Amino acid sequence: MELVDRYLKTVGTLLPKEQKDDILRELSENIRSEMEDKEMELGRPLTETEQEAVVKRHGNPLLVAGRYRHDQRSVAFGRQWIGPELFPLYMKILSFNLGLASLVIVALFTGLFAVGKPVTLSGLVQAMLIQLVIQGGIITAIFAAVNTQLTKHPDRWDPRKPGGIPPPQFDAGGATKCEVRVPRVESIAQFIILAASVVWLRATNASSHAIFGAAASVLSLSPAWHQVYWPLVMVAIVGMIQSAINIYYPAWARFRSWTQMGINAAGLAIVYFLIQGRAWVTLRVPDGTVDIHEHSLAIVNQSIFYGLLIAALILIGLLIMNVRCLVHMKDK
Amino acid sequence: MSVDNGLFDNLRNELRRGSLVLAVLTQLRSEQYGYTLRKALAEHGMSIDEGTLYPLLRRLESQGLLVSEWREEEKRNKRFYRLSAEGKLILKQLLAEWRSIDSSLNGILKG
Repeated sequence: MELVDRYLKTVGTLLPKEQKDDILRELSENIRSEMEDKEMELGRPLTETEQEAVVKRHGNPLLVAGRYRHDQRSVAFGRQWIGPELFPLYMKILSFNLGLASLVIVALFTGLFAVGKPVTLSGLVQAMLIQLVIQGGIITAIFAAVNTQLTKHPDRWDPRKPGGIPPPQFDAGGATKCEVRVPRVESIAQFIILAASVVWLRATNASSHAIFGAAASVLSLSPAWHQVYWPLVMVAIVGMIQSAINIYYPAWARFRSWTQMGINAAGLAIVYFLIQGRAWVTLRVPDGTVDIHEHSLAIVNQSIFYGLLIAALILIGLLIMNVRCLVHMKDK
Repeated sequence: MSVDNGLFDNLRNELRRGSLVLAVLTQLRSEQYGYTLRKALAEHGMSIDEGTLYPLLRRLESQGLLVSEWREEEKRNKRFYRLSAEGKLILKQLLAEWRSIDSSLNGILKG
């Protein structure tokens, strides 16, 4: 019955929390009743293939969980682009990306306002809108492609190959958990977030407008950011390749851990390089007025410095987690 | 002339969707749990996959058309569904509508 447990666990990860236990309990009873019924009919226990057939008939976990949600909203222009099954995940990723971008923009504008720079509401709105168009467009396009695949081939999933269905996880000796198989939903989410990041990086590298909005007339990124542009893009692309591979090969969990270790190490190197720079945002003001703003600029750069330190700590934590996961998988 | 199977499937699914609700409500005039309900529907030629039926039961319950309770049967706890008072009323109206559509369609087909 491990197969059923894994199926239920996967569906459970996608269900609304308040209904999760009740739905899983009922689903479990129905699946087990069906299996017992078949066993009585055949007069013997079900083979693994027969169990798989029963589980498979219950449907792709992503679609099944989506049907249990009360929220049946979708994205449709003429035709349905993102169905109700994917809509909650779509909203979650879109909200996360836009929320993060909005926080950065608001923090920057607040910093500018605090140091007495001319900040307008229209400038803030413009910067937000740019993010909405860039991130909303790319994330919607990717989800529309996934939706088309799911609609055309709803039965294209294999109960034996998690990703599909992640098997039980084991503790890596603490709060972190290592998966011996990578959930497909997780790989899809990672791919989408990184793809959106690459587009965003490209836009910010081409023009400070994409990050500062109207404030780009007085603010610009220091040359250090342009120096780390390609390394950052390469790291994101490696992450995208890894997630794309794990979508098709969810059992390659060690491959993911190794790649993630590389990404974490590269990220640390980039952060270390940036920290050496000491100035991450510069003012675009007439030469004669630079001195007046030096103190204010120092405050903005100090905030970025702490942000980089936090990023370094997170990366170190992730690196340690991936090393521990690899050790545990080896022990297994 | 070639037949577009995708188009046919879509139209058939649309046609079945409304009928399924009617079939489920009718079948739940007597109490049943998910699996036996699916079997009963299949025996009457209304096959419905599990991934569609079980969420549908939840939806109908949240709409107040069904009531459910957990009860032990054959040493297992099962969730039994049946029509609520409101469900009975709605079913009566839906069946009248169904008969009216059936009669109209038959008239068109004969005409």
